[in-house]
Order: sequence, then C-alpha cells, then structure tokens
Amino acid sequence: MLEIVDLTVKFGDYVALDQINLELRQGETLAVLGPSGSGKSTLLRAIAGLEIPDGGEIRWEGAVLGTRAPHTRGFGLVFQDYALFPHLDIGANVRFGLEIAGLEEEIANRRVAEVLEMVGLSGFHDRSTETLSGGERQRVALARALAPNPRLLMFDEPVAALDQHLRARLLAELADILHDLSTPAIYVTHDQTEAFALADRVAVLSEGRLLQVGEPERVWRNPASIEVATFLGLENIAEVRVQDNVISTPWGAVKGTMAPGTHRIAIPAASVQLDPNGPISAVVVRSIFVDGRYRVELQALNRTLVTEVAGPRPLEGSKVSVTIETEAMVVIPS
Amino acid sequence: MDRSHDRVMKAQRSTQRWLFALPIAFLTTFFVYPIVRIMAVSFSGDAGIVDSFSTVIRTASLRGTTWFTLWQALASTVLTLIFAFPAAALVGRYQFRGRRLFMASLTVPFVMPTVVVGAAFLALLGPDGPLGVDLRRSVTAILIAHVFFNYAVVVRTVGGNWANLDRTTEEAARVLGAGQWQAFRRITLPQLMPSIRAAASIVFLFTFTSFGVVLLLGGFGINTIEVVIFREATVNLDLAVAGALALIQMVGVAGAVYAYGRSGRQATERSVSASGVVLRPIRGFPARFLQLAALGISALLLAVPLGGLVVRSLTVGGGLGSANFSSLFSPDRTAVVTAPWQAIFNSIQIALGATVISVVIGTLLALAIAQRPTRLSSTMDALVMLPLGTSAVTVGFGFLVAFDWPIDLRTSPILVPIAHALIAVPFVVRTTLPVLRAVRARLREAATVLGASPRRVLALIDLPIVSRAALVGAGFAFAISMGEFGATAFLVRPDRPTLTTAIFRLLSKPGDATFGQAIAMSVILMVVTASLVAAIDRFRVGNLGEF
Repeated sequence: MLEIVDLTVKFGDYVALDQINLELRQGETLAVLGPSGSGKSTLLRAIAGLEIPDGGEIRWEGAVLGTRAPHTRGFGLVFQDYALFPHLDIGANVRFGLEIAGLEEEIANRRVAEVLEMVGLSGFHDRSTETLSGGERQRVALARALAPNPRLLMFDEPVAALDQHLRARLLAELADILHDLSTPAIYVTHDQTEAFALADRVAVLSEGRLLQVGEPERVWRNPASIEVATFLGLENIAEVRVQDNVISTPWGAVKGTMAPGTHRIAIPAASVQLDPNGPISAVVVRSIFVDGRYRVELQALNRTLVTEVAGPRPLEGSKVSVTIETEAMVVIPS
Repeated sequence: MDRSHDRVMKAQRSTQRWLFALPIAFLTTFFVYPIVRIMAVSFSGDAGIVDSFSTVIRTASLRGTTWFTLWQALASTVLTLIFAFPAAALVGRYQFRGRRLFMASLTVPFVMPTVVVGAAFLALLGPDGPLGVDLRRSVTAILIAHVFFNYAVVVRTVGGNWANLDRTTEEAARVLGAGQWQAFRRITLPQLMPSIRAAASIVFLFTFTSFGVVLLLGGFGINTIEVVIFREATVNLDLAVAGALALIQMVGVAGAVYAYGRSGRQATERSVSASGVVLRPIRGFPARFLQLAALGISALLLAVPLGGLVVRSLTVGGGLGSANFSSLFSPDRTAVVTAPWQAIFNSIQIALGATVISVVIGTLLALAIAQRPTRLSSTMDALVMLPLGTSAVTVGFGFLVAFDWPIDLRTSPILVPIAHALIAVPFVVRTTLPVLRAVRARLREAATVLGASPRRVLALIDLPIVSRAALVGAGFAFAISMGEFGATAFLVRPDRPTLTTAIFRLLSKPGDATFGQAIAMSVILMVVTASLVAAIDRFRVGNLGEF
C-alpha cells in the first residue's frame, strides 16, 4: 500500500531522515519506535505532505505522492498535542473533514455521531474543547481523524501526555478500533510497551536512520545492533565465550548450548534467577519494588547483573547464588 | 494552619491596597476630577445642560463634524487593517533575515509625534512634493496619515497573536482535506479574530480622537470632534459646547475601550500554543510573494514619508544644504518668539518629569493589579486604559477648567508633565503588567513556600522583574511626552513652547524659511523618537508587552 524509498528530509544542514526504506501492507499497524529527536514525527509529517522530502519517494499503491498537497492525500493524522480547533465545538471539530469533503449535512451528522460513539464520547457533541480532560481531547482527535474514513491512519505519540492508567486503557481501545477497521496505520512512539502492544511490525529509528524492522517478538529476540538492544531495554549486555557447551560470562561460567566462539549477548532480567544451587555467586547491591516484583541489582565478579524476583525482598548485602536460563540469551550481532 | 493562611491572605490584601493608594489618588485628582469639571461646565452653560447639547445637535456644522469623525475613523480602521495584513501575516508566520529590525522599525511611526507626521505629509503631498499633486487639506491625506500611524498596531497585535497560534491546527485541517485557503479561512482566521477586533478597536480609538493630523492636514471644513473642542475652548471660548462635545466623544471612546478590553483578553487567553512560537523559513512562491508585498507596502507607507521629511529638511532653495538646521540655532531667526533650541530644552525637561511620574504611578499600578486577582484589581485593570482612550485634548481641556481653584495652576509649568504622565501611564502599565503576569504566579508561590511574606515577595521577586520592563515603559513615556501635542496645545505657556508646539506654530506661518525650520525641527524630533524606540527594543523582555 505505502512504500517509502530512500526518503531523506533535511532542515538546513541537519539531516532529520536519512534514506529511509519502509513498506506498509494492507490492514497492518506499524509502530515506529525511537527516542526523541530520532525523526519519527518528521517521517509522519513527510507522509502526510507537511514536509517536503529532499530526496527519495513516497508511493501510495504504486503512485508517487511527490509534492502532492497534504489535503489531497486522504490520510488521517492524530497530532501529539491533539491540535483541536479551539474555536469549534467537539461536533464541529469531528465534522470538519466531512464538511471539507462536501458530505451532505445529514450524512455527516450521522457519521459524527458514529465516530463519537466509537471513541466513547457520545453526547459530547456540543461541548467546547476547553472543557475536556487530556484523555477526552485525545479521543476527539482520534474521532476527527477517523471520521472521513482515511486511507491511512497516522498517530504521533498520541498518548504521551496522558497518565499511565489512562494510557493503558486508551491503547487497548485503540488496538480494538484499529483491528476492526483494517485501515493501515503508522503509530509513532518512544515507548516500547506501546509499540509492542499495538503493532504488527515495529520499525526502530535512531538519528534519522532506520535500524531494524520486524515483528515485535523477532526484533526483541534478534536485535540487529547493540543500539536497538539498548533502546528496547534489553539488559545484562556482555561478551561471552563459548567452548564445549560452557558459556563463559563476565559473571561466571554457565552450562548451555550455543555456537562456539565469541558472542555479544543480552540476558532479559526475568531469565536470571536466584537459585541456591546456581553456579554463579553474587552479592545483592540494591532491591527496588517495581510492578509487584523486586528488581534486584547484583554484583558478581565486580560486574552488575540485573534480575527480577517475586519475593521475598532480597536484602542488600546478602550473598546469593544465581542461575541463568541460557536459552533465553539474546545474541546481538556485532 | 487555616489561621496562618488567613493571615497571609490579609497581608496580601493590605499590600495591594497600599500599592493602589498613590495611583488612585493621582488618577482621581488628574483624571476623574477634571472630567467631572468638564461635565459641570457643559451642564451649567448659559442656559444649562439642555442648551449646550441641543446646540450641538441643532448646529449643522457640529452634526457634520460628528458624522465625519465617525466615518473617517471607520474608514481609517478598515484601510489600516487591509494594508497591514500582509505584514502581520509575514511576521506571524515566517522567520526571515532582518525580522527583528523590521519589527522594531515598524514601531517608529506609532510613536512618531503627530506634528512630525503632519510635517512629513505636508512636505510629501504639497505642490512641491515628489508626487506633484497637492493633497494638502484633503480627507485622502488624513486617511493616509492615519494608516501610517496605526500600521504597527495591527502588525504587532495580529502578527503577535498569529505567531502564538497553535500551528498544528492548520496542519490538522490540511490533513483533513482543507486546501491552503480553506485552512486559513476556516481555522486560522477565526482564531485570529479576537486580535483583529482588538487591533481594530485601538485603531478606531486613535483615529476617532485624531487631533494634530487633522489640524495640520485637514484645513477648513474638515474637522474631527477633537479639533472642534480645541477651537471652541481656545478660539470661540464656548466652554459649554466644548464640554458637551468632549462628553459625546467620551461615549465613543468608552465603546472602543470596552471592545478592546474584551477582545484583547480573548486574544491573550486563546493564544496558547503547546509547541511555543514556530516560525517557518520563507520557501516557495506564496511566501516569497507575501514577503515582497509586506516589505513593499511597509517601505512605501513608512519609509517614503519619513525619508521625504529628511530630504526636505536638507533641501534649501532647490539645492542641498544644512541651512534649515543651522538657522534653528542662529540668532537672526525670523519667526519664532523663543529660540528653537530653547523649545528642545523645554521638551526634554518636561519629558523627564513626565517619565518619572508615569513610571512611578504605572509601575505601582502594575504591581498592585498583578497581586492576587480581586474585584479592585480587575476594575483598575480596565480603568487604567481610560486615559489612553480619553483624548489628549480632553485631558488638556479638563486641566484648563479644573485647576483654576483653589490656586490657579493653569499657568504653572507642572501641569504639562502631569498631563503627559497621565497619557503615558497606560503604556507603562501595559508594558510592565504582562511581564509580571507571565513570570509571577510560579515564582511567587515558590518564594512564599520558602517563607517570604507578601511584602518580601514584592521586594525580592516582583520589583527586580518589573524594573527591566519599567525601563521599556520609561522609554515609551519619554517618547510620548516629547511628541505630545493635543494636551500641550492647551496647557503650554506661549513663552515656553515645546518642540511640538513650536513646530506647529512654524507650520502655520507662511513662508519657505519657516517651513524649512519646522521640517528641520521635525527631523530632530523624529531622530530622538526613533533612537528611543531602538533603545526600547533592546530592553524588551521577549515578546511580552502589548506595544
């Protein structure tokens, strides 16, 4: 559906997007994941036609979009700060795209009611945008983008400004809506949980370059570089040497199968376990209670090893033994 | 806990009252009282109130004056909005080389003394002017001068609002299918309306009470109410009719001030952009065309008259020379009673006095209003704008009828700086108050939490912050006083003319030599004013302040 070939966008000398290649399939939700300043928003703006590319092409169903004006593209974009029209009430905000398209008033009104119901705001029609909470604003922005049945939906960090509880609920609802619509969607975020919760595929962007594209689990299990691994929040990154089914880590040697030689690996914290019979001995440096579990920082052979345990709380300074689930180790190509 | 909170509230309230005391006394004595006296004068004319008002209504020429005042003000407002819109769009949307300089130079005409502008247009539109047509004594000349004066008001107010708009709303409209023009008309323009209304009411206000320009460029039969008040009070000595006209004019002024207050507040409340001010570089044909149009109109409208004034001042009998300037300082001057350099000295003296008074009063008012919002502070916020709207001639006229008793102050030299200060106070308040409001709430709270009492907060937080803004206000006050004409014309003693009254006197005398001298003095006044504006711009705190 959407093809991006060698897309480059510059602001003066600053290269915001550097030869991006990306493809979006029918009904697919793609999450673009990257730290702030990585060029995520610029990518969306370029697709929407709000930025003019300095190189490369954006194609929709084979046709080059080029410098086609934004209003002729038929795409929907939900802005980070919602960009609700302050001088229009909620109904008029949602109706805007329909009016521009020249829809009959009756049909437009029916559609407005429909999308407002879809986002859980039935009856908000006549209210002013200033009376809304952050979550409600976000819903209006979504309804406004959905109303004209766009060919492509784009989201620019739409829940970043909301509190955590609300964020989770909106994400779940958004996932349902996207699933029902089968409209292709691009969702830009710096939060990997958001990206993994919504996306069929994830694209990792950093400093204007695309580092990796793939299904969430595949990207997580096979990060293309240490940059990707670090950004995904993979922990316990180290060099290991493998010989005769013994993996020598900086924390100590463990048994396990892996191709012989030297590798760079990461070990998810959940795959490091306290075990009285474990081969690695370590000292507890710090225990922090997070999300119902203890996140524990250990010191083994003068290197930090992070683990998660359900409890009881490992006391700081106590000596423990540890095993590592070697099959959970993630190999990072160097 | 509750009681100590109560104590803090009480302390804050008493701080506020204490700050208001002096300004309220000043405004009551020099603003409210003279207006009351004007009312008394017009109500107690020879045949009482009915007579002076019915004279106005029955006299065809006075009806004509009222009608002309109204329609020329409306026409001036509409013309200014149209001509200034491209420049407002340019500074509201785009970043370009020389943007700061452009903004600063736009302010110059706004603070240009009316007599200077009058002189400039007389030189430009006279029979010897470069245009070759004699437009003096015409409505066209008045309208052009009014657009010249108020151009910056529209560019600053509308352009400032535009720059603060949330740009993504326009982009959202584009993505939703609206073309460039549609997005502008349906999304941007409605959001700009409050500032357009605010600018329109200010321009209406200034042109409705236009005095110097009309006096110099209008000529016989083309009078505003303001000019007639002056003539009735000083030439015909019919104080009752002058008072009635002043009251009629005040009604129009009050309407415009009210409209400004409402729209101004909407404009500042709405203009909250999440992403801050985002200006784009100029790229593509429409943007370039806009830049060309805006700079072209600005140059034609602003640079030509002022440049023409400078050229004319250096023209002596067909050639170039500095005779016009040197004659100001030569002993064998022809026309004026006092030496021209004496007028410059008088003006500076008066301006210094006016600056001190208006900065003290204005800063106290701003500090008091910016304390916690009470009914008193919001009332004062609105009332402070009234002297701005009340015409200079009304102020001068009011002083003339008010301060004859118990001691006759009318010939005392202190009335002139006080009148100027009264006119400048709103400017001081409007430059300092937004700065205080923008930074204060958080800082005040932080200082209070750290244990500072309301009075110490005032001394340690507000005063240091306000002092920079007050400097900007001081510059405005000085410039306003230097160029003030309407009130000065009433109050100044003939043997102590100011720059503006001297220029006016020279302009109304026939002869090429006196005209040359008037033009030379105008250039001096223009240079002083322009340098002040340049200095003000350096001290401006960000883009805060309304002028």
